[in-house]
Amino acid sequence: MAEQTLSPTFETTPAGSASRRALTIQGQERLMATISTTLLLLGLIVVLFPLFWMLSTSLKGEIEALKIPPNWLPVKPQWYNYRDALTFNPFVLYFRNTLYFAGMVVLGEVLSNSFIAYGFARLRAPGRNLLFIMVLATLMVPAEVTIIPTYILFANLPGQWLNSYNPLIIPAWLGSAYLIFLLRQFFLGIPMEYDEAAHMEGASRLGIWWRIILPLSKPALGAVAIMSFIFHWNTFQGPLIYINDNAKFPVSLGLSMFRTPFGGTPQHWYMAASLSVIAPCIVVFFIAQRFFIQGIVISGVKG
Amino acid sequence: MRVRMFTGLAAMLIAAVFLAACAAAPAGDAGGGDAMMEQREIVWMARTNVVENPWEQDVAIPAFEEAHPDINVNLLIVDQADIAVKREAMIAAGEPLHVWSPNWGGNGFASDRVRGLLMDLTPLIERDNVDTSVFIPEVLSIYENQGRLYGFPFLTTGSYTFYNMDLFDAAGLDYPPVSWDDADWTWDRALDIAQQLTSNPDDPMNATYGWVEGIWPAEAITWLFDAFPWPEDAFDTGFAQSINFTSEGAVQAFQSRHDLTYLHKVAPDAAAAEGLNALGGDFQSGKVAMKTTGGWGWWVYSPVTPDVEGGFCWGVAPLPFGAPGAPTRAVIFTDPWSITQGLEGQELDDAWAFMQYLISEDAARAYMQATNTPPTQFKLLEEWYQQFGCMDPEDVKTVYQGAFQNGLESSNHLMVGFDEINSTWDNMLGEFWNDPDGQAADLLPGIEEAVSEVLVRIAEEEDFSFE
Repeated sequence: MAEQTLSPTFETTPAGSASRRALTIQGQERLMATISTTLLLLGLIVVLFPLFWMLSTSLKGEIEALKIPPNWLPVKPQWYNYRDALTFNPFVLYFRNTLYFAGMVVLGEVLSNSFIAYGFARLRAPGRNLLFIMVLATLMVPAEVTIIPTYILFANLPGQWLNSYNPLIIPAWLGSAYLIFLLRQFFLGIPMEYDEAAHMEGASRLGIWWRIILPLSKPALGAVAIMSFIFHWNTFQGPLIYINDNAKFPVSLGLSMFRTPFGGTPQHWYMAASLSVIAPCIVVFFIAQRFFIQGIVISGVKG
Repeated sequence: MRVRMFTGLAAMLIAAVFLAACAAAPAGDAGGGDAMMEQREIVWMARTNVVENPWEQDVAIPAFEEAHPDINVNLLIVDQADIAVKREAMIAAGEPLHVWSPNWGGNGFASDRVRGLLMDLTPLIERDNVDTSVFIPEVLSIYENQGRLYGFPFLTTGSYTFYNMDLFDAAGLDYPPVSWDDADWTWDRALDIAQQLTSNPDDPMNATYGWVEGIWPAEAITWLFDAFPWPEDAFDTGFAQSINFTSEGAVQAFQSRHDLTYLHKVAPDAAAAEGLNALGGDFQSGKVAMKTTGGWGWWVYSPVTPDVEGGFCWGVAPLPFGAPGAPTRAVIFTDPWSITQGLEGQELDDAWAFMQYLISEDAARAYMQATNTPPTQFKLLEEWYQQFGCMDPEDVKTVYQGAFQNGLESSNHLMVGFDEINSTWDNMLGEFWNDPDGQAADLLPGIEEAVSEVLVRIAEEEDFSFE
């Protein structure tokens, strides 16, 4: 009897306890999921709010855009603001210019930086580390310090350098310290055995780089390409200094042409054009966000 | 293998250079045939401005090129905040730059004159017998130094009190006067009006502020209180050994401005003011009854009319007297076109031809009509007075002209090294404007000392002697 009495107790108590534990764990998981979803939603609102604001302002009239307190939504959406903003200055031309310029730079940075990084990661040479440190040291020199000397240098080189994309594109084909560092770190993670095996098969250094290292580094190269594209899509200072012809402006300079001193900037056009200009970057990011996140992991750069 | 590697590397670099250098850019390289190749080109640098740029591109350049088919004008438009670095780089590298305005970006006219960047136009004026009497003499003389003229002014304005007529009407208040001699238009009177028109000052989204004080440069607030801080000859030479920020009037001026926000609560604090401007402009929002600021309001506020959604009527009044009878109250802002020093021969003739076009009556009228900016030629002023629907043209004339009888050209145009001077006092004043308990009397001696040190150093760097 005692056994009979005890038995169910013995059997039910642990089972009930386990069930309760399971329920508790389930509840905790649900609670955590709710909290994390709420936090993510809050984060999403914070992140998307500027975009919402840009969209809302881009559809308002010129004076309505200045109203305080602001209308969260335009009284009457004025979609033609996009047409007006993008034709006030020749933005189709600016998009073409930027695609050309950013595309050439991306091509150059992917090829040259991977090549240089391969050298730093794989080749043994006296002074290699010193050279690498010197490359990294160039990151410490503020761009502002070198603007005018570099401009004078290009002005004195033979051929047409100023008022062309050459001062912006060609240096990109000669390496960027940040991207060299990023790719070198990735290449160091690729086992040397691949190189040795390829070498045994008669592959040259160039062949190893091209046939072994690059195919194995697609995530890193993708990250470099995306970061480079987004950076150069938005870059302002270089084109500002070197381009003297409005017909050669990239979108970043095109956007700045809305800026009018003393508060005269037409906010509705500015926002319409800004949204149009960042759209390609958003598309590129969503298509290739896997590579982009990989790039952040590789470089250890956050925020 | 090593040879192959280096060959590959070399091939890649050559390909890179070739691709980048030889690939035709998608724009601007179209070329125009032999006729285009024979044309001469001048470079005209202007600031980004959604009102001015269409006039430059669609009116001025086509008209000039039609009259001078052998000269092509390359309009280089740069954001005013970045124009100085671009100009410095171009001039340093000897890149062609012909016509530009020294007051757009950088240190302003005085610095460019001292650095020898501006062409003396006097010989050209005498050679071609250019009639300079069409210009307002006081305005033209701003860009004269030791008998040399370095620029032709194309717009000029004083500083004013812009006010929202609709808010005055709704409160049943009389508008401020238009005469600069009206002794009743005092700081206290303006403050009294501001207090009547202010509501919800602690809730920026729903506030109506009675008075936004935006006189610029910061030192110019002292002018209203009869405490002009510069030595007598500073605006003639461009140099000073010291600035006087510790006079009774100067202390009262800065404290009075501070009190508008924290004691009387008729003005937004620094954060609210920043927010209002980020949203597009405080006065244009319709939530500011009065704004004392530079005369750019004439054209920046011109899109605000009762006919547009959210628009309203606005008027213009003098700056109030901080101290009775203060002789100099208005900061005057005059922008000139100048030619780069060192041009010679045909290049100079082409730049001069373009300059003559810019100062012609037709071009000046077209600019005035397109931009609403006040002209610098007598003949055009009467036309400009008609452009403001909510104000009687006679009132516009009275208030506009009064500024010139009660003002001086701005220190940002006439003091060498202005950017550094300005950032010195701005950095130190920033904390004061944000501190509800800030006391001008405590702060100003330090600013006076710091600015004076900068002034002496600038003079030393430019080898200027005060003897």
